[in-house]
Amino acid sequence: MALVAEYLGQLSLSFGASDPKYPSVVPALDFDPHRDAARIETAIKTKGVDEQTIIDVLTKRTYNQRREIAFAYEQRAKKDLISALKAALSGSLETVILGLMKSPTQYDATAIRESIKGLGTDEESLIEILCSRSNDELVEIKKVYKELFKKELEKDVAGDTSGNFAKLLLALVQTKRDDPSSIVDYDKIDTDARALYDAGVKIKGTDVPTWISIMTERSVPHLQKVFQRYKSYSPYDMQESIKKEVKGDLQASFLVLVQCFENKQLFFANRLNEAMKSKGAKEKVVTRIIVSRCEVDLKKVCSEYKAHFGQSLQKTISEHTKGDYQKVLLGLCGPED
Amino acid sequence: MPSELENAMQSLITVFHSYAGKDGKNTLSRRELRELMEHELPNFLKSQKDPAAVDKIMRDLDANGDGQVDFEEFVALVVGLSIACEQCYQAHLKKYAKK
Repeated sequence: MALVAEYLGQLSLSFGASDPKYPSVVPALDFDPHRDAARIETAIKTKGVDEQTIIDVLTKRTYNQRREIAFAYEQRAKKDLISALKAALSGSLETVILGLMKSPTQYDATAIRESIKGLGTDEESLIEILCSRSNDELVEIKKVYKELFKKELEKDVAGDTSGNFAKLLLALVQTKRDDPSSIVDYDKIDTDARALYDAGVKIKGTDVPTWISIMTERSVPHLQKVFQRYKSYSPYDMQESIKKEVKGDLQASFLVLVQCFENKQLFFANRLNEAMKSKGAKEKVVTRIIVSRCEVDLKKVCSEYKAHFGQSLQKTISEHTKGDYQKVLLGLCGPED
Repeated sequence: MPSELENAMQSLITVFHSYAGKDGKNTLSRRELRELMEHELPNFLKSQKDPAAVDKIMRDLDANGDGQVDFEEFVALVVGLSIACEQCYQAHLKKYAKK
């Protein structure tokens, strides 16, 4: 059976696992960057701009394919595709399309930069990104952040946040998290569970540094078991304990971390639901989640969404957005299962 | 006449022993594991971009940390790869079923 030999060639080392992927955007089969570049050139030149074609092409190509299209476009049109799209599009559609033309890491780095630069800080966005990205993703983000903005991510985050909140974010950005291992260390699970309890619910006040070091340094599979074990020591589960012990941005960060360890896709589904049901400023959140997860796990986010809210994400998007913005989001989500 | 499955299990054992026995012990040293993977799993090794892949696998497999991988520890690798291949196979079936 030559099949196995072929499959083995496609596997990447996931021993102890990187997270499985459930993208909603997959590489287009039969991909021809020149043909796509031509279609986009025509769409841009069309009077009134043919947004539909741009949406149809770009939402059905992966980031790597979009890059090839950009090269092909530059060859034939002698213009930079991104500038051309910026000029041709506007509003929320433009934001999404320009986001799609960035690599996932560039997109995250830019989003982080926007949340901290200037007066004030968009803590919600900063927390969402820093607390949901994996260790490996954060390593890449740091690199790209430095290339793009000539600054160290750590310095910028420290400059814009304070207290224990800053300490937690910095610990995450230092990417000291253990790699997952297939070996289960039951002793350590128990010690960590007890330490979390002793540092929090058990005492008056909270020993935040202990919480920070356990939650930012242990591997995710290990922590999942730690939170299970935690329930045998504490009358409240980990999320309830967080709400009781700490407040404000620190609470929000710990909660996002724990929710992502337990079920990252459900976390994003909840976020999307909150963002769409509230008005106005939340478009940024919806755009960010859909664009940043479409090649990672958006498909699973859709299924968690449906299971949890009883209605598909696609339907909710149709109800709460309109026009080209709606079309581009639906293009990225793909059809309902 | 052994069944297909019995043959598969027999192969697991004979392949393991043909590499493990080379240094007189019936377990895989790091070098024997590397030889086994280069000869028996070349497609898998080729797709790893990380040259330290074998070392990582060795570390993970050697559950008791004695520098040797016994059959039980080795079989964990085969199981993991089989599960991953089966998932590819399922996706393959789905693609053709849709047509």
